[in-house]
Amino acid sequence: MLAFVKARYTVGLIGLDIVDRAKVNIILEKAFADGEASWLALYNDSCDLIITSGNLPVEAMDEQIVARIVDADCPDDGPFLLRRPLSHEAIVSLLRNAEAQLDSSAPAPEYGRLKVTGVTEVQPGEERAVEMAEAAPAAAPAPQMHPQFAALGPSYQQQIAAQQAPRPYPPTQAQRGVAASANAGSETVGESWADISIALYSILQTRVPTMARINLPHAESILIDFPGRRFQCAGFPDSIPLQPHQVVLRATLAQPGQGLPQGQPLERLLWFIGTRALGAGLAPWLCAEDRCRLVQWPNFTVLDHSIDHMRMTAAMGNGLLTAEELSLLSGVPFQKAAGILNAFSLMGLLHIERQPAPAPRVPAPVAGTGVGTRSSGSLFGKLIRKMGL
Amino acid sequence: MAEHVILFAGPMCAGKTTAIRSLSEIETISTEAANTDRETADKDTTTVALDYGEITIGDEDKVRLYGLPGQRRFDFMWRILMERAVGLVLLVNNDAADPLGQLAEFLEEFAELHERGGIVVGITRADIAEGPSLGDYAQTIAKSTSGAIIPVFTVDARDGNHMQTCLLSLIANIESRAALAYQQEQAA
Repeated sequence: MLAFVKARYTVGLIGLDIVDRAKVNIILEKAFADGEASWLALYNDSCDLIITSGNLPVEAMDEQIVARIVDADCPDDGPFLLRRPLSHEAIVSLLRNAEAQLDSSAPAPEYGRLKVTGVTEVQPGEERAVEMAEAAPAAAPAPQMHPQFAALGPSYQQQIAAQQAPRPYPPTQAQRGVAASANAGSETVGESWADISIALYSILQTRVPTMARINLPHAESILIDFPGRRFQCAGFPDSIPLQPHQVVLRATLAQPGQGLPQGQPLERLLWFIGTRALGAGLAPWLCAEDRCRLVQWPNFTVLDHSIDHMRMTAAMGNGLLTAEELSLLSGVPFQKAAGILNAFSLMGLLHIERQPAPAPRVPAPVAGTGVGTRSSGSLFGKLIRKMGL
Repeated sequence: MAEHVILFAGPMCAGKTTAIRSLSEIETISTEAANTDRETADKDTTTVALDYGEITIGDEDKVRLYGLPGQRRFDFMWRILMERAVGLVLLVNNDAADPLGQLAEFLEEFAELHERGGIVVGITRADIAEGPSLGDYAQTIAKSTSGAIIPVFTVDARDGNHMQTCLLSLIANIESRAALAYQQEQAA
């Protein structure tokens, strides 16, 4: 029988090479299954504990702990240092040290009423993935910046460079095998969309080939084919309650030939959850201080969007903004700005900066220069009035 | 009256003429001739000079929509019209032999317009043929423009709502970039 286990803290694996990440994943999984540590592994830098590699610069908030993986002969020492070769004991010890520090410094973060149950054990074949990972190709060199953008100042250059940075998880077969253990075969039970969205976000971040079913009381089930980026749900979106009293997500590793033969684009579901179902605030993995920038426009021709969404998207494509800045700049309520950030982050369309905030490079709402509102004299404003939108 | 010139470009058969028809308030003016290049595009006629449509906004503004011929032998016209244009709707046919290569070529050709105005990319026939994903197109755009964020959508050129979305996104993006440039000027 599966016991309900509550993940108290989150650990983010950032900038690790493929072998280290695979090993840490396997050990975390086993520690979770054995009840030695109850940590939710994510792949972003907003976690309570960040495990990173060597001297890789990581900007962390005061309340975050940064642990580093170093070679065996590294002269440094400390409670948050992991030496290669990585061992189960060392990682469990690290997690306990981190728990002790987090317990003493601040109340445990709340992730709604999320419960993670029935996480699968590491399968025999998954250790093999570590060996396969060692043969992974090196990252390609970064592309050169166009002189036009180089002239726009350091903050803008930083934004462009961040977009050109390689994705943290190239979907090699080896990684998929290892990462699958973090999500597939698990069942997440929540009492709101915010609860379940964490599991969805985790699956999307790891890019594990996963099939999922979301069950809602008195509503149609939602079948999701993550590799095929599509979903099925009769009567969507009208059949989906915005405030369900229970949401159950069951995820399994996708088998060959198991994908949905047809369905709607997954972006539609993620857009719906982000903009309408997550409530009034930011998603649990986003912070009010996070500055966000779009890395790709959403496919608006398949999304149920408004003119405000389009204006906010244009602003997000040209500036690095917090939710509040986006709200002020676009003249929309905070709830709507938070909603579009939630949706974009679920859809994987955001670059997020959590470093000490650079001076915001945002278009000032100067008369005659901003993106038009209905009452403005801009061409955009005139066109939407003309088109009756 | 202020005039705003929007160009529609892209390879043959991408849907430029149809897109202008979907948006224009007036009967569009087309200059089509028998297609002698059946290897490239299997259709009876093709645009040889340009297509024209317009949207009038009150007494103050007119949006002029020009469709450029897709064949390279007409590229002298591209340059003439580009000088007057503020933005470009670039349509690419997803079931073409090399849509990503075509996209990169057109982005290079209209780089100057991207730098001072804006571009939106519409992928046509994406529902008919398996081709590159939107992510593939976005990556090609990022490589061709050093990381700039250009809107890219799947579109049906016959669908007025789709083409409105393209046009409005283009204008919103242009105005947002202009606002950023203005702010940087003020700060300098």
